[in-house]
Amino acid sequence: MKKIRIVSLLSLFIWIYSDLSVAASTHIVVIGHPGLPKLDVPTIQKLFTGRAVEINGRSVTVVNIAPNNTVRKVFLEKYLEQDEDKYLAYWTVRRFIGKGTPPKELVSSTEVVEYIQSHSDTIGYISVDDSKPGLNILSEM
Amino acid sequence: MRHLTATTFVLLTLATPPPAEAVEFLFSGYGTVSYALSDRPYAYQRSIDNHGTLLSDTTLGLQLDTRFSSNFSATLQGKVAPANDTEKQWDPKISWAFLSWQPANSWMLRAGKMRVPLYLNAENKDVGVTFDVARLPAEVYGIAPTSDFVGGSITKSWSREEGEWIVDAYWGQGNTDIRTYLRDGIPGTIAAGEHYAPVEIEARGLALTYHPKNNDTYRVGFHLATPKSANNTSWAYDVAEVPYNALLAPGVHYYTDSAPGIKRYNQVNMPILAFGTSLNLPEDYTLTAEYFHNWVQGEEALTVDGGYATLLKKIDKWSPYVTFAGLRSGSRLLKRYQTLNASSIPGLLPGATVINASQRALADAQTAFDQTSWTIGIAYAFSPVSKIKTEWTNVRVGEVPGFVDSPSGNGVSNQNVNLLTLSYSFAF
Repeated sequence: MKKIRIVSLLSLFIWIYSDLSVAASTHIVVIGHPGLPKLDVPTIQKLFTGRAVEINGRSVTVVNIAPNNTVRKVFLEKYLEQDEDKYLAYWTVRRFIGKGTPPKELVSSTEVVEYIQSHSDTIGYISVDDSKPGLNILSEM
Repeated sequence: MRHLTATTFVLLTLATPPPAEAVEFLFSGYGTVSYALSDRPYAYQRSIDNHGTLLSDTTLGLQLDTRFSSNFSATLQGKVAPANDTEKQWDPKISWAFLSWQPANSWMLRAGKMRVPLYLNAENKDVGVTFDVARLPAEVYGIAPTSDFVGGSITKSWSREEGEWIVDAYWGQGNTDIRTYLRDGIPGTIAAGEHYAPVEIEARGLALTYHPKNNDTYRVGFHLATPKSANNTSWAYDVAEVPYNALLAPGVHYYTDSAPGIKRYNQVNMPILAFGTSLNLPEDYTLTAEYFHNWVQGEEALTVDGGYATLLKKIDKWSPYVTFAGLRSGSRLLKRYQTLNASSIPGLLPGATVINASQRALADAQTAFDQTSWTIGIAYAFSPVSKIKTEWTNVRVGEVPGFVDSPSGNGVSNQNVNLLTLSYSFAF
């Protein structure tokens, strides 16, 4: 019984540790439809918080990855300097003061890549591991 | 009619089929179930007494956002909440119906039915999960029964190295009902109890908000409300002392608001100055404070000042807080209430019953406030969209009843009212 408990605790530790290490080591690339320019972090922050809707006069649409995804979690930490709860709370207020709705959410990096490639003036993010040649990389962190 | 037109316009826009790929429908909703109980048999803020009520803050709302493109959208929000124009009933209504257009990063234009950005939480005051206190302080948020209007608003923002500046300007028209509670009524003329007068309000204003990089908030606003009687009645802001009958009872006087020389209005201008701040302090403390000052143009002595300060600490999912709030009308109005409340003629004189009742009715009709309150409370967030809260408030009612419905006889003054609130709020 004791052995089973130790094994369980060890598994839990390994699971938590691996999740943290994945989060820490994940590199994010912000990608955009061909033709969109490189972006700095403040601009990306504004785009994903609804405070900017255009780049150089071009209306753009941003897409998120759905919650409970490590790539989204790392993107929020690195680019927006907030966690899931703060981001959700921010959009809850913004939605109910009538100043916009959160970005469209896609399930995976693969879907994000497909969406960005098939829709003009769109911006999203993926893990660098899911990056492939030919993507328009706007920022990397 | 204006409301109907604006709502219809937005509904038609929602129903217009744009290119299928471009449009996106987003449903969301919010709700609060709130139970409030006081230690007094009389009602505070219309419905809270020692029997307890769900009618003070319980609200359910649904919102449909239609995103036509990244910079053009329509919002429709309906809610069920306690009615503004009757007691103990629920009122389903369209609270928001507007179109938003963001032609550039720093501009947002909206047209339709929306809410005046009067106070820090004015626009989201129905959405309990967006703040931690169980009840927004009545001394500020309880004054305006509604702040929805039909019109337009323009928002302009400036991003600077040190933070972001935002200016909101709006202009429009709304409807509301002004509530008066008469403890005794006037025999044969007007019944005791609550009375609602329909009012149209033209509202316009400017609010300047500054968010430094640390997410503090500073806001100053100047608003001008022009209430106008919607049923062709007029009202007075003054009373005059008139003799009862110089022959029958020399030296006996009483007060009336319909004597010659008293100005009557069917519309007035009411400027409002509002200041608000929310500061993120060390050790996860937050200090939120708001203050407003308003007056009636042409009757500048009739002023109201209100404000509060809330100190809150975040401890993981818990948010204990303490609030001090105050609301006070100008001294001239407070004195007038006391004069009218104490005014009476000898009961043996003909017509004394009606005249004495009219003195109390005139006193009750003065929209005067004088109260302070202390609140301690705590919120627990299951998640950012699910919160349970409770708070205890001690209201010190001063010289005038204010939010209290005085029972028959003498008006309530210089008493304490204790309130207990338990609420659960959610959004999805």
